[in-house]
Amino acid sequence: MQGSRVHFENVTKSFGATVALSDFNLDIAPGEFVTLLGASGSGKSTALNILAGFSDATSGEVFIDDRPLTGVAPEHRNVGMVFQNFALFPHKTVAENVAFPLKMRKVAQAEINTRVKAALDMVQLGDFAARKPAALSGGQRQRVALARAVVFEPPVLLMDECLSALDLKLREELQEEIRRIHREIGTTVLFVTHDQTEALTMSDRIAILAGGEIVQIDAPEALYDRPRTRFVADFIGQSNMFDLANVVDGKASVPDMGIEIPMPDANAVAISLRPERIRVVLGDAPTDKTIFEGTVQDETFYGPVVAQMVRLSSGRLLEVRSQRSGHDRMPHTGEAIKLAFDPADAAPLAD
Amino acid sequence: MRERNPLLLAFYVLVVLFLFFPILIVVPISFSNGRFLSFPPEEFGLRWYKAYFSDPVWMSATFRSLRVALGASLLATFVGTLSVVGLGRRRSKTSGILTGIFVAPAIVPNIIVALGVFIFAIRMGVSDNELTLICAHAAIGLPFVVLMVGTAYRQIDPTLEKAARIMGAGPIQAFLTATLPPLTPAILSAGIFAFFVSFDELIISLFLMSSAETLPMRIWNDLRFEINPTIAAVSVFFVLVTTVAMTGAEFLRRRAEAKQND
Repeated sequence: MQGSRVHFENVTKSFGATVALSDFNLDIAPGEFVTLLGASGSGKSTALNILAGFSDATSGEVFIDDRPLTGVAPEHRNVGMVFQNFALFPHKTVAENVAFPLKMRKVAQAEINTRVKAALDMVQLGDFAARKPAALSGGQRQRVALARAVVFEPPVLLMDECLSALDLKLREELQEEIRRIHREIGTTVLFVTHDQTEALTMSDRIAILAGGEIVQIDAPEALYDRPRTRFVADFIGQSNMFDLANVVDGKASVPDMGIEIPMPDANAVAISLRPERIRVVLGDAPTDKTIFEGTVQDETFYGPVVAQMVRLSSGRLLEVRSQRSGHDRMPHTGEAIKLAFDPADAAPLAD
Repeated sequence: MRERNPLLLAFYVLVVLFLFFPILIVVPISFSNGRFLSFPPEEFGLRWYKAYFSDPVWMSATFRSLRVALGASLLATFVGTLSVVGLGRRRSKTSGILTGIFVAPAIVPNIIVALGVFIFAIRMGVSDNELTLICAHAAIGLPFVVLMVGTAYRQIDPTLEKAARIMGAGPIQAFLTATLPPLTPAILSAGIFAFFVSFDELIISLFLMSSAETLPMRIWNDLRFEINPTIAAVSVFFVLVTTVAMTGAEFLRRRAEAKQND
C-alpha cells in the first residue's frame, strides 16, 4: 500500500475570539510519520480534527494528495483514526468492530473475514475475535482500535493522543508496535501527542506547536541537537541556555562562562547546551579554549549517569550529565569543577 | 454490618405500610364474593374478576386505555428521543430553554393541560377522539422521555459516533451504529414509563372524552354511581400490570448501566 501526501495550506481556525490554529502550513510526504507535539491548547488536536473532517477550517485548505477536503464529509475522506479513549463499539465483538469499516465499504463477507483475521493477527489479538471490548485490557483495546483503523488500508492514518491513556510499559510496547505496523503498511501517519519521548522515538519528523503555530519542524535528532528557539530547547529534553554577547565576525562571547566561542550564526542571541554534551575536565588540559569553571552544588546519581548542578562564577546554575567511568575521581558536591564543550554542540538560538 | 436503630426501623415499617396501605385493603376486597364493597370480606372467591373480564363495557375501556397508552408511549418515545438527539450534548442557552419547554408538561398541573387541550380540541372539532387523547397523553409523557433518554445520551461517549463517521458511516448510520444501541435500554424504559403515565391518567381523559371511556374513566364513573368490588378486581389487575412492567423497565435500565460500566 502507498501512503498519500497530506498538505495543510494556510489553515486558520478560530473559535470566536480565540485562534486555535493560525496560518498553519504542513507538508507531509507519502508514507511519512509526522508527529504534532505540543501542550494542550497548542492547536495540535484542532489540526487533526480539521484533517479528519470533524471541524472546518475558518480559512485555508487541507489536501490529501491533490484533493481539496473542504466540504468532504469524514466518511468520504478514507482516513483511518485511532482515538485516545479507544472508541470501540461496546456492543460489538472485537471482530465486528474491526469489520465495521469494511462493511461500510461494502466489501464481500468472505474478504471481510480474511482481512479482519489478518488485521487482528497483525496486532497479536487473533484469539480475541469473539470477545467484547469490555473483556479486554486497555492495551488490548487500543490494539483492536489500531487494527480497526488500518484494516481498510487507509492511505492516511491519524492518531490522537492514542497512547496517553495507557501506563508506561504498555505505551512503550505499543510505540514499537505502531512503528512496526507503519513500516509494514507504509501509510502516511499524523500522530498527535504531548509526550516528547513518544514523539522522539516514533517520528520521521516532529512539528512542535505552540499557540496554534508550528514553532519548529525537524527530524527528531535535528530537533534535539539543533533547537532554534529557547521554547524548543526547553520543550524537548533538558537544556542549559546561555545568552551571547558580541556576536561579530563568526565569534561570540558567553559572559556567564567567561569564554569566547566560534559562532557562525550572526542572528544568534543565545546558545543551548544539552547536559550530556558538557564534559568534565579532569586533570590539567589548559589548551582547550572552552574550558570554564564552577563549583558542584548538588549531584544526583542515576546509575550509569550522574547529574551535577554546577554554580558558575556569574551565579548561573548549569546541569552536566556524565557517564561514570569508575576510574577517574569526579569532583563532588562543594568541590571546584572544570567543564568544557565542543562549540559545535552549542545550538544557536534565535530568541 | 451497622447496628440498626430500632426507632429508624419502626419508622421505615410505618412508611412502607403507609405506602402499601391501599393495596393491602384492595387485594382482599377484590377476592370477596359478597355483593357489596365491604372490609374485611366475609366470603372469598373470583366472582368480581369474572365480572370484570366478562363485562364488555369494562373490557372495551381496558382495551381503549391500552391502545391509547401504547400510541402515546410510542409517540412520546419517538419525539422525545429525537428531541434529545436534536438538543445535542452541549449545554447552551437555546438547549436549556428547549429542554424547559419539553419538560414543562411535568410541572404544569394536569388539570391545566386538560383545560387547554379541551378548549383546543373543541375549536378544532377533535374532541372525544382517541387520536387527540393519544397526542395529549404523549405530551405529558414526553418530559419523562426527555429526562431519562437525555441522561443516558449524555453518558454515551461522543467519540464513538466520530469513530463511526471516519470509518465510512454517514451521519444516520453512525447514529444507528454508535449511539442507538447503548441508548436502547433507556428508550425502552422511558417508553414503558410513558405508557403508564397515559394508562392511569384520568383528568385529561375526563375532559376530552365523553362517549368513549378509558379504564380510569370507567373506574371513576363506576365509583360515582355504585360501589361494587369489580373496581377492586380491576385495581389489583392494574397494580399487577404496572408492577410487572415497571420492574421490567428498571431491570432493563440497570442491566444497561452495568453493561456500560464494565
